[in-house]
Amino acid sequence: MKVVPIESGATVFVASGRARFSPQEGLALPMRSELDHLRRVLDSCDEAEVRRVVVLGSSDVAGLAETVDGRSVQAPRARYAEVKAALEDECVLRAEAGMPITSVRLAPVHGAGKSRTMDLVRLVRRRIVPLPSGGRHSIGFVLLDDAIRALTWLGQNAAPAVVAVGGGPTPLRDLLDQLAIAQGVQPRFVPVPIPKRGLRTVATLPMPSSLHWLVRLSLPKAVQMEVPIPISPLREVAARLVSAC
Amino acid sequence: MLILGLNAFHADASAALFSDGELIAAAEEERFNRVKHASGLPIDATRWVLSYAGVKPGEVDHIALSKSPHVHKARRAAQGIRHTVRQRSLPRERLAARVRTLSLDQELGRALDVDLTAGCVVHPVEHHPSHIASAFFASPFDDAAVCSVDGLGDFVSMAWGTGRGSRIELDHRVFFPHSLGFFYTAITQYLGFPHYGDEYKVMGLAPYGTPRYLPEMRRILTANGPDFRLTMDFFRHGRESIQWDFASGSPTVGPLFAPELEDLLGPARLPDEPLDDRHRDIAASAQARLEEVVLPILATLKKKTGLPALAMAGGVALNVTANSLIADATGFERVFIQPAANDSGTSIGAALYVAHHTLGASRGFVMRDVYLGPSFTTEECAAKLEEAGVAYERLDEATLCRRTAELIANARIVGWFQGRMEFGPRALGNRSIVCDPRNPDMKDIVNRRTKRRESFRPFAPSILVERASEVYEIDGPSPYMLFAPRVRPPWRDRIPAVTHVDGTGRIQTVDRRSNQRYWELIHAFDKLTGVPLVLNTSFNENEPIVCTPEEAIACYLRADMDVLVLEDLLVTRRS
Repeated sequence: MKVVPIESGATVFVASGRARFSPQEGLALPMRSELDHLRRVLDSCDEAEVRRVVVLGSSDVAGLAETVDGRSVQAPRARYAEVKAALEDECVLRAEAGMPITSVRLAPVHGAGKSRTMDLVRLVRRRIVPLPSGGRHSIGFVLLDDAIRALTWLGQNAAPAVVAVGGGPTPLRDLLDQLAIAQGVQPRFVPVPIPKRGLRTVATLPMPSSLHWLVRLSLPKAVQMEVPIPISPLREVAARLVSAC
Repeated sequence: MLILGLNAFHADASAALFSDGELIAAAEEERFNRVKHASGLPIDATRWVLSYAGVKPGEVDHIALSKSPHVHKARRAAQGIRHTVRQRSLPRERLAARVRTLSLDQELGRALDVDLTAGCVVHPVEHHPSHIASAFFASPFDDAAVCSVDGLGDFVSMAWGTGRGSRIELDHRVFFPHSLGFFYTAITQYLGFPHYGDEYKVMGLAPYGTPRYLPEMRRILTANGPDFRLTMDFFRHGRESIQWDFASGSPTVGPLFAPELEDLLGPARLPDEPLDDRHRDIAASAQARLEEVVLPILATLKKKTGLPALAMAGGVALNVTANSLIADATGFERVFIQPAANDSGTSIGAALYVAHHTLGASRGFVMRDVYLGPSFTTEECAAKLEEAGVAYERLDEATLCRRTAELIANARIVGWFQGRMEFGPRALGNRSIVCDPRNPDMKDIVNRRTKRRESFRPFAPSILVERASEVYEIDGPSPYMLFAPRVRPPWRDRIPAVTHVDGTGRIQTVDRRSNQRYWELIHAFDKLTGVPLVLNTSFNENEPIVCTPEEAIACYLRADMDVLVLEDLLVTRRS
């Protein structure tokens, strides 16, 4: 990979890491390639004495933690998250060496063009919607617009080496209610009791991505917003998600 | 009551003999059969400890073996089945090792020509409790948190818990395939150091690098609170058969790292390839990761037990860099590490475990020094010198120490052979090569000319205990080279030969009571130079530390030393 020269004093956003790796690829090669790429970019940033570097990471580095912030212990459960954790560590080492860098633990982003958003919006169009554990638990995600505002803020302001960018606690039932209102539908929500411990075990098993998404929807998770920007209210979030689809 | 402790069918096979709670003698097999880290059955060491005590084999009441085939059977069986299914063959080596352990008393009886089954009880003691007993029951602590960390023993790589009085209770074990020792060994092999026991080379190399591969190391060795795991993508031992031989002779451990480790870190270094920055950085990163994982585990242990003291053993406890951080990082106020923290010390540990934990004997023994091996009189040494045609002078102690100190101050390399041989991996002033720590070239001279070893490897100082805190950032004695405190700034330039690149020194404090003649030698050097320490390295040249005067003379002649001191006899090249 060739890194184009970076302008002195620039603000650099690094979106590194492929969303999925094939199981045949193993862990070593993707990690090495991602780390090599990130290091080259960061070396260039160092040479150019950039103003700030913001690296897009993932809240998945915290594994099955119910609340994720910048201080949550790394406990990645998937290969993708392992690679993201390694990239985050690289950022922390650079920050310790004096680089103005922040690695962002970004919650799953919802917005236009995201298939996971389509899945969620379609879910409430059903007449009967099963709700794991009554849907009282929080699911962790961030609206695309909020994520962009947070990243922009991080590009302009000093911040710790690792911060979380998420929508904070968002109860699943409340979100689905708002999505139903925004679409003018009235599904029947049926609580499905699921033992949390069993689900955590299931979450670690290999499965198709659609099923993985459903399992994740069933696990409580809240990714904090550690950047001082207002989080969009749930009603507004639902309206934007529906309009994006 | 006589208890014979044995470390057999592990590396560093050894024997130790306790009589009514006192440690009479202990020695490693390698010192007798001259095979480095010799494994198998310690026949020669056993013969020697028995003869030293004037005991016949049939008079031993208990034999404590630091290995038990009776523990963790379900896990072992499951691993055996996994191996059989994956490899489509039986784990023959493991089965053979099991049979050997089960018939140990017969084999030992045959070798010693005595029936050990009559009137003698053989106690298999699990490997890690043996390590822990070697530390806790040899420590001055009544109660302590206890911990052992190594590669693997009886399917366990790490164990911790509490020692109280005559009992040891373990709260946690880490099982195969996860192992901090294997992590370090795999990186050691990857860096082109293939021999058993080469891990200290990586530790010595680490301060020359920067830990820029820490992100990778954190994925190779993951940790969550007090638990750690190896990511098995990078290792072979969990998924295929590893060459693994502790049956006899030099122990061998096949490559533990998988090709995926090379995918991640780049090509492995070949043994004769030059070391470059990447290798140094990988060593630094592995060392940093080890510390990142071990220290929080010990901090958790401190929190859980609430005890101020820690007793520790196992091969990883020989990592002086990590040891030096324990007090600051964990809150333990007092730390005792078994000086023979490697597997050799488990012979002592197994015997102590049987005495106290099994038989309930009250404690009275505290390990105060490691001078537990054979000794030779001045007359015996003189006879060997005459046989070899080497001239010598016989001197009284004061003159001997003064003359030797003068020679050291004049940049001579001195082979120093005195009293009983040390037990454990370190030469602590009885089988040592000593020279001038002030000479900046001395490290390279000794590495190249005498020891014929890698230039990056540091040398340790032996310092008068009374002056230790003046030169090093240390409060109390450190008699076993198990900690590497920082050299105080005013001294760094004065003792370059024993100051590592990171500004530390793996010190041995020398107490007049435990080794008077060595203390006198250093004291004489101090009077001459104002420097209360000498450079001390083991008396050998790519071989086990010398045991007998013949071996010392041969090593002196072969390794191009300038001076040899055998008991009261002084030999110089000119003579």
